[in-house]
Amino acid sequence: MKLFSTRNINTLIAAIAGLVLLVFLLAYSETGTPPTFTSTSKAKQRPDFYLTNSHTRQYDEAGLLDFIMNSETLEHNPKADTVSLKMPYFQVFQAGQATWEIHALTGTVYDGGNKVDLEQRVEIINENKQSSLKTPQLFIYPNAKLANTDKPVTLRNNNGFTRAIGMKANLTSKNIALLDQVRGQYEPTAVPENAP
Amino acid sequence: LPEDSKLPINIQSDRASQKTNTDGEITEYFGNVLMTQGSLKISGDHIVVRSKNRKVISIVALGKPAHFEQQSDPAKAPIKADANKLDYRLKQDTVILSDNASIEQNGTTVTGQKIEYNIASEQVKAQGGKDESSRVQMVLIPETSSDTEASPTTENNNSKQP
Repeated sequence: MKLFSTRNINTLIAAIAGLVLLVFLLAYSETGTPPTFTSTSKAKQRPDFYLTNSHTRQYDEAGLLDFIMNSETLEHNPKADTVSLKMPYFQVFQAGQATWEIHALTGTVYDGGNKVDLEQRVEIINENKQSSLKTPQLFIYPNAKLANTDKPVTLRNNNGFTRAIGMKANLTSKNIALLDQVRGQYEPTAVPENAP
Repeated sequence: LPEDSKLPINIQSDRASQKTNTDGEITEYFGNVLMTQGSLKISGDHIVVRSKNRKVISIVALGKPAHFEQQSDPAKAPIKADANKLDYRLKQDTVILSDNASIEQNGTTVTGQKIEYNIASEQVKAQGGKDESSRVQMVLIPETSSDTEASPTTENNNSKQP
């Protein structure tokens, strides 16, 4: 029984590729203000396919594990051409770099994978808990290699944190713009020997 | 205060941007920027923080002017300084003020093109510019007999006694 059509697989993979790109973003976190999740009326059509407790593993050309994606439920909505994820969890592997974990309560993939909307307790953490990002909602644009939110964000690493309202991140250049009400804290400890 | 340099550095601003590269992070804060570390305060329109793994290497404040203030000793008046550019170098515990620089404590004022203030030793080095207006100027308030506070030790290399 052919569960996936090629087109749907591409949509799903494009979305996941977007999340893979997101891990290049250096992130910090703490719980943001309670999620101001505005319910948008989603036309609830019948999915043409759905999976429960899905476990997806993708390997690169060399046969190395690229990422793992688990989701409590995964539904494809043919009319809106969206893929809805419940409790999506990604683990992203990169040769020679720390593994990243991304999770949220819900996720929606739009526009054939050009836009991914992660909602409610979005959290991005790197494996050794060095840095993390928390926000109630995050939009990712895989092809444009951008991510943004207008919600509170908290970026944390073990030497400090930064909070702001709204963020724009360029996943290629790793530049982050914090848009409003920025509050940062740095630990005062050791300054590199070769500092000027 | 002596313990200031051991306290966390807090910064707030309207906006910020951060670039990450192999040398570390460069975070720029824009709009009503205020940085505090214990009694030390730096404010300006634009503050650039260079850090490595968020451990601060240097803080440069720009403004018209940028402002520095610190209570070096609970028994003394705070030291206040202004300049269009203010470079706080944590490792050297030194603040370098340039472009319309002035530093003041208890009425004693030093102005010049560039002033280097060492926080630990409270030593001030002032340097003048070429034109008349930017030469080092110093205003000393004569200590009355009751006044027991000592003003900071000052060394300047081309000063003109007012």
